[in-house]
Amino acid sequence: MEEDKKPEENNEPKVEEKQAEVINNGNDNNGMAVASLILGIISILFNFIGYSLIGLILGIVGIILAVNAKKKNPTSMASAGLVLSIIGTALCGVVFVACIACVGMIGLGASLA
Amino acid sequence: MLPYINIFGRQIATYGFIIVLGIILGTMIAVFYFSKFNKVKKDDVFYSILYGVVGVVIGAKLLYLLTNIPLLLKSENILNTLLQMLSGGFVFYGGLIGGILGIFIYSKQFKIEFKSLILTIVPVIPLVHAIGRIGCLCAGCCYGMEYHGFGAIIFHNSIFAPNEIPLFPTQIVECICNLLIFAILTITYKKFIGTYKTVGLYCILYSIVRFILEFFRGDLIRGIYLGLSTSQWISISLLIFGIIIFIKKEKSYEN
Repeated sequence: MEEDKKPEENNEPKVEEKQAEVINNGNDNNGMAVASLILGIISILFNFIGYSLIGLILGIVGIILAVNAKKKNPTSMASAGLVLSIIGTALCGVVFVACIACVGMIGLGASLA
Repeated sequence: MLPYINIFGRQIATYGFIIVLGIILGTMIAVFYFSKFNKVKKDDVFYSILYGVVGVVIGAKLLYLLTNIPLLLKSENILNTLLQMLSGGFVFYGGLIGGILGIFIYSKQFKIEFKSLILTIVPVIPLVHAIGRIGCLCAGCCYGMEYHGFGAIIFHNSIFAPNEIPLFPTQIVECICNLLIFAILTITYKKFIGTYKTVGLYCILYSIVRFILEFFRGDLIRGIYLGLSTSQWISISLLIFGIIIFIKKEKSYEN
């Protein structure tokens, strides 16, 4: 009987460790999901107030965080973060992305003149 | 031609709008069509494209900055010029390299086969690029040299191209060539399934098209080294790379 009990006692801390790991990972992923959600919202806001470059950078970071969160633990928060970050990046990208010799070059030419 | 369009009362740059539409269309085709032929989940294709797009933005911008270092050094206010450069200007080749790197990072991070991801995404690159060239036509950038023959286009109120001068339609020609490359890659896709030959074929076809079209370009503000532009030097490297991949013997997927 004693021999039977020993393995159970040995297993208990392992189960707890695993649970703690899952909880920790869940918290990390939840943190990433929340961060991506916030970054996505800020990215959209920055687009509307005219700071598309900052919005684009925040949107990109939001996308990377959301993808990481979704791959490890696909929650609705991570999905929302991903969608908002994509929208923010796309909106800022529309304003910011320009082909070579486009908008930036005019400003550059003006600054050099 | 049509640099800005009004959507819900907001003035939006046509180039950016069209390129975003192109990316959405390309992503849908890669996720719903080309993923069927490779051992890869639709989710992974979608996420890797997101990583790829991030890589494209960073890569295109970095190469643009590198080609404009002389301009940057000449300017009196370097910080101001750098900020101006950061707010506009992309180089396609820089974007291509950055995009591939982005997908590579995704495959390493989540332990997904790089080959199946790249083989799913590569065929749609020329389609997205073709749509992007329509954006160039609308914005009036990437214009051709002065030309009086068939199909010459005249810009009347472009802020980039010289107005009222007939120009070679480089944007339209590159758009058609990219659509043809997309068609060729799609038709030959099943034949080369599971091998990098599709990538090789794309590299060969696009580098040839780009190398020739660069001679007809009128926007000569890009870097020129030994009589050839930066893009032409990269085209030569890409052509050699493409030929090596294409002729290399390679096993397909087992199933």
